[in-house]
Amino acid sequence: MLHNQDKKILVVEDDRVLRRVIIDNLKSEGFIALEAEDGVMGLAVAMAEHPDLMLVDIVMPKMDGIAMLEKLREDPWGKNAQVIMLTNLNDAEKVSYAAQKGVNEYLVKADWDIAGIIEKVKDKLR
Amino acid sequence: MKPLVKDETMITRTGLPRNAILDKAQDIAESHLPFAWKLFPFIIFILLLAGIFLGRYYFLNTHPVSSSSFPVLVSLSVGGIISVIVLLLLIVFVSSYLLILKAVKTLYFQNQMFSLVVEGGNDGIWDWDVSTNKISFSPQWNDMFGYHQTGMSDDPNEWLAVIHPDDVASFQQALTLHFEKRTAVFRSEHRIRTVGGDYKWVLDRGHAVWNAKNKVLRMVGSTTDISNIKEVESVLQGKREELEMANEKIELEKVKDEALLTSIGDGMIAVNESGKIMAMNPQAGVMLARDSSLAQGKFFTDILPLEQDEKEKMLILEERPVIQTLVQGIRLTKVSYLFRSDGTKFPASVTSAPIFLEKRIIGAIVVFRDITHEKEVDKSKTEFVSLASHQLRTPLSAIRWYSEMLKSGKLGPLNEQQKSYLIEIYDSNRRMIDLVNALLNVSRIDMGTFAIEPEPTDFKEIAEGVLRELFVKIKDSEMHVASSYQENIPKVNADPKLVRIIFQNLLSNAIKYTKKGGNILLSLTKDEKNILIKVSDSGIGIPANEQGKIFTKLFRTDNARIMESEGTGLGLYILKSIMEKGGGKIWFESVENQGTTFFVTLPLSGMNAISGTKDLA
Repeated sequence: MLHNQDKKILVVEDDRVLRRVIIDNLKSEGFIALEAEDGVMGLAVAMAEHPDLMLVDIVMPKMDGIAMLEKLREDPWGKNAQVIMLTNLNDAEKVSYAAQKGVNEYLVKADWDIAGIIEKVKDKLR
Repeated sequence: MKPLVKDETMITRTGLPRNAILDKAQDIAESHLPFAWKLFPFIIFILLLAGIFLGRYYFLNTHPVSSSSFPVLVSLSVGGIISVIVLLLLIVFVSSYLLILKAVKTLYFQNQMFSLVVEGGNDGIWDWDVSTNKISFSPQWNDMFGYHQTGMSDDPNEWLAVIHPDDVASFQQALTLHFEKRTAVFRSEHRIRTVGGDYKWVLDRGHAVWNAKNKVLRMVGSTTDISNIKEVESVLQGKREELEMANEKIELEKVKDEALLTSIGDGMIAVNESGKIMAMNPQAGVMLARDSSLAQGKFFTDILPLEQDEKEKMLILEERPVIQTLVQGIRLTKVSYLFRSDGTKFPASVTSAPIFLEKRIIGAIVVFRDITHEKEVDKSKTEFVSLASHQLRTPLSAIRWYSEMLKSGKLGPLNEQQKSYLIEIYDSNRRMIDLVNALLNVSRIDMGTFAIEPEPTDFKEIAEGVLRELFVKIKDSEMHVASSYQENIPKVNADPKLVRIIFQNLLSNAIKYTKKGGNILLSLTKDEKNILIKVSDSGIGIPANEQGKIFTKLFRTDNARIMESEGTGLGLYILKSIMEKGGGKIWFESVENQGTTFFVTLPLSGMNAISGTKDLA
């Protein structure tokens, strides 16, 4: 658990309740959990903090996850940053678009239990 | 008169050559000449001698003074004159004898020919002596009606009696007309009763002989069996009537079709095998902004030069539905963008179906409907579904994750009652997630937006994965699950997500609707063409009266509702839809209270690819 302590995870999710449960779980696993409630804020935090991994929702106000991903990939640091798309949409077009933009993983929230999501995060950082 | 037949070598029916017949005729003719006529030359000779003696006697009486030679000369000249006269008579006699002989010969020959015709032909002959009121019939006539044993009576009234009662009047009228010389030939079509009692259609033709006072002496005629002709006529008549009826029907159908074509809201274009327009309804003209009345005979591509697919990519000629139908003989329904004459376009649902004549493609019918409005509705539906998906699943995910955390015990211990309540919350939430997923799948199926993305798929691997997921449920219900996989089942080009849904639905249904401790058997086999999934259970079965509705959306059988309150009635509907779109088959065998077996086959050649915008969840 200790080896997670220096890893920064950014959760960009507009739903407060979901955000909280993910953050709580990450913290309990020893990660440094950062949070943002829309794409604009998410992008700002990402640029400032350079997290090791981002969990990004797709449908959000102000800037959605896809737009945020596009902006991120334009940045010299951001183009190689690890991103897991976390959404309730299993929309084939959006998934293939996200894949083009180099998303590292695509998880449908309702299909995953929270422990499974935390496992994915650990996997990606290994 | 000339002999009827000139061929000298003709063999007659009596077996004698023609010359032999003539010789025989001469014999007969000779035998019939009065015997006295044969003595005529002797009589002439005697008369000549008598003339000489008479001349001499007369001269001696009238010239008493005799000279030595003169009387001889005179008597000779008187005798000579008489001889000359007699010679002339002889010449006349001989030539008339020869003429008579010739006539008799010809007559005999013709008689032979006549009997040849009468006996050899199929027609019956009758000969009616009107003056004695007797009639005779040829053997053929008697044969024709079966009177060959008894022979027909010679009483003409008997003849009249065998004519069909309905035909007697017309027969008598024809006879009267001919007797009165108002017809050149007697002619009557009527039925004659045979010995057996049934009737035969015949044609009678005859000719009468009149005396100077126009009284009929005799009448000869022939009878031709025309029952075959009548039969053919009646069949023909029947066929003619059938044809007329069929024609009428076709006309009626044509009128109906035309009314239908002009009245329907869809555009319709019929083309022949070379792509030329045979018909185009007015609505098609309105939709394409072209004059439908001028379309006939033009090429389809003249009227509809451009077409795009659903994603607005221009179609090349070979990709266009009508061409695919004409080339491959297949029926297609596609969403295309069609272009109007002014260059604008509209989305249309285009169905193109082949027209076959004895298995040969002779054309195609293209029906298209403007779906601009549907597209709009579809768009808002999709937006709603997307919204619902997000809005519903986000709180569902939150409940799931929070209850998972509580369950994990990381936040401190719960007492038994709290734990069991928490499990109820967790399970109910799980059911809601499944229900939302199923509803989303159904709306995607109904909107036709779900995708099938085939890739080489290991069915066994997926089946085992699903069984692992269901392990807890299987254990809880103490179910005996056996699985058998045929060896060497290749990877099949199928959509793994859909294959997973198939196993998931069939196995969870089997578990759900089988009582504790029951048996479930999963088997995976293949034949030459298909891969076969079989899931059998020893469950409650599907009642016979409800089996027909089992694949209907939202349908659940009564016994299923009683046994298990959980269940959406969507699973089998989804499977059926996947099979219909993907090119597989699903069916079942079931006996209530004994069990059910579901069968799913998918072609080894793979599932149909469908590029939709949505995956099934």
